[in-house]
Formats: sequence, C-alpha cells, structure tokens
Amino acid sequence: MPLGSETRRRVIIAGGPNVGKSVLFGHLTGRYVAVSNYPGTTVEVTRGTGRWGGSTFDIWDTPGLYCLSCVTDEERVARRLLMRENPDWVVHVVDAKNLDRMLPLTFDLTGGGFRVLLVVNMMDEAGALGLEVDLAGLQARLGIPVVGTTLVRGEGVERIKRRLAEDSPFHGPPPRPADDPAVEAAISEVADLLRASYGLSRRAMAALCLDGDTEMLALARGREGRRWAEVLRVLQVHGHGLRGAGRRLAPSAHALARQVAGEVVRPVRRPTFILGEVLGDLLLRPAVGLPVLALVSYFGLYRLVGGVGAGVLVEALDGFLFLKLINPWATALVERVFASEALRSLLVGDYGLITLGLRYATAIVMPIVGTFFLIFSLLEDSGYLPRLALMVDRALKPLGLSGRAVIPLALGLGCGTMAVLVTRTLETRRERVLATFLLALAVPCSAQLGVVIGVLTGRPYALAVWTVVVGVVLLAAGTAAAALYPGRAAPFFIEVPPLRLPRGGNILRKTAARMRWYFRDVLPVFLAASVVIWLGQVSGVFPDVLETLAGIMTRLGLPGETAVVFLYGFLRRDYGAAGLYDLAPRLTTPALIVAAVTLTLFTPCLAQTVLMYRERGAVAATGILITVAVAALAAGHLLGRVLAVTGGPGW
Amino acid sequence: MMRMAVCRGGRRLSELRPGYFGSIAAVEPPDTAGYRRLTALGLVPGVEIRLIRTSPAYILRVGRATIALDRETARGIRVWVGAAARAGPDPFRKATAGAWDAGRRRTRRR
Repeated sequence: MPLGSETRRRVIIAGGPNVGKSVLFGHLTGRYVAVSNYPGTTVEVTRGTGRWGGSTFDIWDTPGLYCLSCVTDEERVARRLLMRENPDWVVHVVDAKNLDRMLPLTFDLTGGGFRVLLVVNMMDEAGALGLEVDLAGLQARLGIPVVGTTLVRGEGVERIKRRLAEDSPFHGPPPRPADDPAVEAAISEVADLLRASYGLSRRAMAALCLDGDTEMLALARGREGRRWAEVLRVLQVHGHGLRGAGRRLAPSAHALARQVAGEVVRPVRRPTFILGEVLGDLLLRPAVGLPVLALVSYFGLYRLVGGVGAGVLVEALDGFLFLKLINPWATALVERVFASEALRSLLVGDYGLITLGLRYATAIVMPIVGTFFLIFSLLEDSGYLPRLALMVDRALKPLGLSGRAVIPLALGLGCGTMAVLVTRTLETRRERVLATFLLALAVPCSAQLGVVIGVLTGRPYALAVWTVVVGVVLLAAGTAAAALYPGRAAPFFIEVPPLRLPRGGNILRKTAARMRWYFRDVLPVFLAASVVIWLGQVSGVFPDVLETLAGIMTRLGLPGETAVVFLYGFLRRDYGAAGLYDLAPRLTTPALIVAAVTLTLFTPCLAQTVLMYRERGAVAATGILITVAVAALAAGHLLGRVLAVTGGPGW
Repeated sequence: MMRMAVCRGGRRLSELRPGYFGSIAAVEPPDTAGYRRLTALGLVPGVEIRLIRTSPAYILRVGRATIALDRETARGIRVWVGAAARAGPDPFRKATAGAWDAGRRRTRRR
C-alpha cells in the first residue's frame, strides 16, 4: 500500500486492552480520552490530530482488539475502522512481557495487508521481571519496524513519531503462520475468486469467510455481486471439511508467536520483588477481596462521594454559587428583559431553567457524579475491577449475568445513563437486557442515593429497611427476569491485569472524559425535561395528571402530595429526590420509607430512558419501563401493608 | 473413567484442583464465539497453563498473564496434566528465576 501524501497521514492504533493504546493516543495528539485498564470501558473510537515532522497525522484510538476474527461489538468496531479508513500506518501496541500472546494479532495485521509499526510497551515492567527484549532481533524477524517504549513515562514516543513520519518500506516479507495445506489451499481458492476491495488483503478476507464470520460474509455478498454464487459454492465445499478454518489457523499462529517471542525475550536477571504482584494475588481470594470491597464502599462511596461530593462540593456550588450569586442575578436580569410571566417562569420561576434546571444539574448532580467518577477511575486504573468481577461472578449467575456485569452495575450507582452505555461491553444480548433492567429498577444513581440517605438517616432503622427492601427486590426481580428470558448462561472469561499504583494523570483524564460526556449527553436532556415541566404547568396538563396520580398515591398509603414527587421524578430523578426531601418532615416514617423505596425502584430519569431506547431498542425498553413501573408500585404497596401491620420499634 | 479421558485427550480443567499444571490438549467451548474468545486470550492447544485457584473462579497462569474463567468455560478446556502434577505452592514467582538459571546455563554452554 503506497504511503499517503506528504502532508496528511492516517494512523490507527490497535491492540489488546490494557496495553497503553490510549496513553499513546494522548501523547501523539495531545488529547486525552478515557484511558482504561479494564477491557470494555472504551466503547467508541476516538479521533485526534497530531503534527510533527512537517506532516499532519489523523490518529484513531480503538477499543481492545484481540484478533481480526473477532467476537464482541467493540472488536468489530475496531475491525470495521481498520477496513474502512485505509490507514497509512497501523500502530500495534503490545505488552512486552506477554509478547507470545500478542504477536498473533501482529500476524493478522501484516497478513491483512496493513503497514504495521509494532510498539513493544511496558518495557519497565519487563525489566522489573528480569526480562530482556531483543528489539532489533524482533524487527529483523518480523520485517516491520519495532519500537520499545514505556509510554506511561513518555519514553519512546519520539522514536514512534519519527518512524511514522518516515517512508520506511517493509524490510522483508513478514512471517506467516504455517498453515495446514488443506486450509492453505482453500484460502487461496477463495481469495482468487474475490474481486472487490475490502480494505483488507484478499487472503485475510478469504480466511475470515471460511471461518464463518457473519459480518464478513454479508459484506462479501454485498460487494461481489454476481460472483457471489461461485464464491459461496466454494465456501460451502470447503466449509464442511473445515468447519471454522480459524480453528486450524489459530494454534499455528500462536505456535509461531511463541517461537518468535521465545527467540527475542530472555530472562537475564532475577526479577525484583514486586509488591503489586503479591497484593494482586491476595486480592484474588474472597477472604481478602470482600473486606477490601467493604472498605472501598465505605471510604469511597460513603465518605468521599457522600461526604465530600454531596456535602462540601454541593454546598459550595449550590449554597454559594447558585443561591447567593447566579439565581438572584439571573432573576433580576430576566425580570428586566422579559415582561411575559410565562417566559419568566420558564427561566427563573420555581422550576425555572436557570434557577432549578441548570442549578440542580450543575450544582447538585454534577459534583456528586463527578466525585463518583473519580473514585471509579481510581479503582479502574489500579486493576481492582477485574478482581471484583471474578469474585462476584458466581453470585451474578442466578441473575443471568456474569462477573463482567459488575462494571455497569457499579457505574449505575454513580450515573445510570453512563451505566447503560457501558452495558455495550457485555457479550450477549440477554446479558445486556437483563443488566439494563436491573439498572432501571433497583440501582439508584448517586444523585438519588445522596438524597435518600439524607432523608432517611434521621430516623432509626429507616435506612436499613430501605436497603434491605431494595436489595431483596433486586435479587428477586433479577432472578425472575433471568428465568423468564430464555438463553444460555452468561460466559465469563477475563484477563486479570497486574495490580498497579493508580496514576494521578490517568485518573484525572478518565474523570475529565466522563465529565465531558455528562455535559454533552446528559445535561441537555435534563434541561429539556425542565422545559417539559414548564410546558406541563403552563398548559394545565400537569395539574390534571397530578390529581390522577394523587389517587394512586393514596391507594399506596401515601399522602396525595407525593404525586408531585413522582411526576417530576419521572422526568428528572434529582427533582423527585429533592421533592421527597422537602416533603420528608410532613410524612410519618413508614410513609417516608414507602415513598423512598417506590421512588428508588420507579422508572429511571429521562436521560437514561432515552439511552435505553437507543441501546436496547423500543421493544425491550418499553417492556422494561412497564415492568419497572408496575414492580415499583407493587413493591411500594406491599411494603406499606407490611409496615402498617408490623408497626416497628421507635418509628 | 481415566481411559476415557486419555482417549478424548486430557482431563477437563474443571475437574482439576489448584496446583495442577500442564498443556492444553483441546478447546471445546459450547459455541464458536466462545472458541474465538478463548483463542484470542491465548488458550490454544499446546499452551502451558497452571491452575492456581478454583474458587471464586477458575484462575490460571498462562505465560506471564493471569486469566479467570467460570466453571462452564473451564469444562470446555482439556489439559494434558504435567508429569509432576501435584497440589503445591505456585512456582510462578520462581518460574522466571528458574528460567534465569536455564538462561545462564544456555549462555555458559556457548
């Protein structure tokens, strides 16, 4: 493939998860994105630009890719990008100490016809393990440029930039895994028949089709046109004997990788003692892992998110910035500019866009969610999350989920909308739907959590009852949903990265990326919900709806005023929770618990609902919404009955 | 039972206990997607693995990496158990040291 023009080149960064792709992207573009340690947290492709050596580079960062015959949605995203963008360079980033397991993708890429630059990263960790990597030897053996780096320290970036700016040709044909002759013949035959261009070498395309890759088969059928019938015939002839040519190819690719790695990676020193390895292994034991989880939950969630986030930051932003500065200023300004009462109420009224809509979103929800993201990023960067996942895998199986689901579920405690987005990383549709259901029903987001805790702590046992009821509903509904939704059990396999000291820069970058997402994707929906509320009030629709709702509330054993809480809570969780806060002094404790439980279980906020529809489709999303609404009201009603009967000590 | 295992090629990973090591004989997951995922993680026939835990999940060392699997997935992996198979401490930490010695021996021979 000829190199792009002098001035503009396209570079795609590829590689397995947890190797440093995003760090490299950051170094090359000066732009930082969610750098993740746990596979699946980068769900989208990120694009940036870099300038050096007199050229401009368009650079893409991709989700983790293990091999070209891939499985998960995120790998497909990476593959499609490679095929579509016709890159001048594919930078394959690998982990120096796991070269034997990562070179197969290098072979896939060179076999696919791309110009590859191999970046052997984490040389520092290899050194600590006492390993020496013969980079020159590797370069000679592979026939492609190889650069050794320690990207977290920025070492090696300049060499990479130089290489990318050069017009370096291949040094020689890269090694190809020795194929079973039958497989080799089949691939050649199919490759000869393919005429269209795919952004991938014909041979690689043929191998994927023989492997039965549905996406590639569909693509080929579309592009080959009339020739497809012949191609299909040949595929079927060979298909029977080679059910999944990949099954034959993979072991030979891995064998070759092991051989090459064995030649260039050698132990030359005794490994230095690495505390991280010892701790990392300790955390694999539930005896250590569970207490650590309790500690993390207490300090991370309760003290930091609850104390600092919900307390200090909210006080500063809401109490001071908005209530003392922005609100009065805005009110004065609006009253001077607009005469219309309707417009005034839209902007600075009781539910005004500025006085309440913007204020809640930026002064109350944002600091809480932001602190949560900070803690989450810390856990993510350290490598703790995969260990948590393997610990809870067995417990999640009855819910139809695997350990991997702990990531979206835990994120749901921060922001349910982001959690639904991250469910993309779950492998099967069944898992994704069940996880989305649980997120909609029983995982309270941090804004909600903060207020509910604030409302219930005054009263003894109330918080305990709330926790128990929500927990029970989560387990019961989750098990029922898993039983009603037929399908295979969710498989669980995960690579457990070494435990690393979280790096401040990384954490801040990840948190910043998530906050940017919040401002771009969630805030507008919050503001739109405020407008809807205003319209509802002005048009007179809301008062009517409130009357009907009040009837339902009394049936639940709650005063009619809670109808307001629910109506607004449907549009914005924070309004609902805040409404509850205002109402709290007037409710008896049992009534308050019922209200809190029902509100927690009830449908998610508008932003999350919108994303649910986009991600899971209208059918699943509507089904979830209806089930959640019914379950919440039923649970509330039942709880009300139970509390009325049992009374309880010291209410 | 033992004969059947030998004929089929190795014992199922899900039947082994911590400390056992050996090389993968075959990978037979329930579906193609599972096969590809395991392959991508590096679990292919010929690779040497060491089982270090079975609870809360099946945890193996593969090369210098650590991989966790659930029981169902572990059932699909058949292993030729190593000659010196025994329950014992994980020599992974010492593996590189052992290799260092081997490495030294190699250079000395030259």
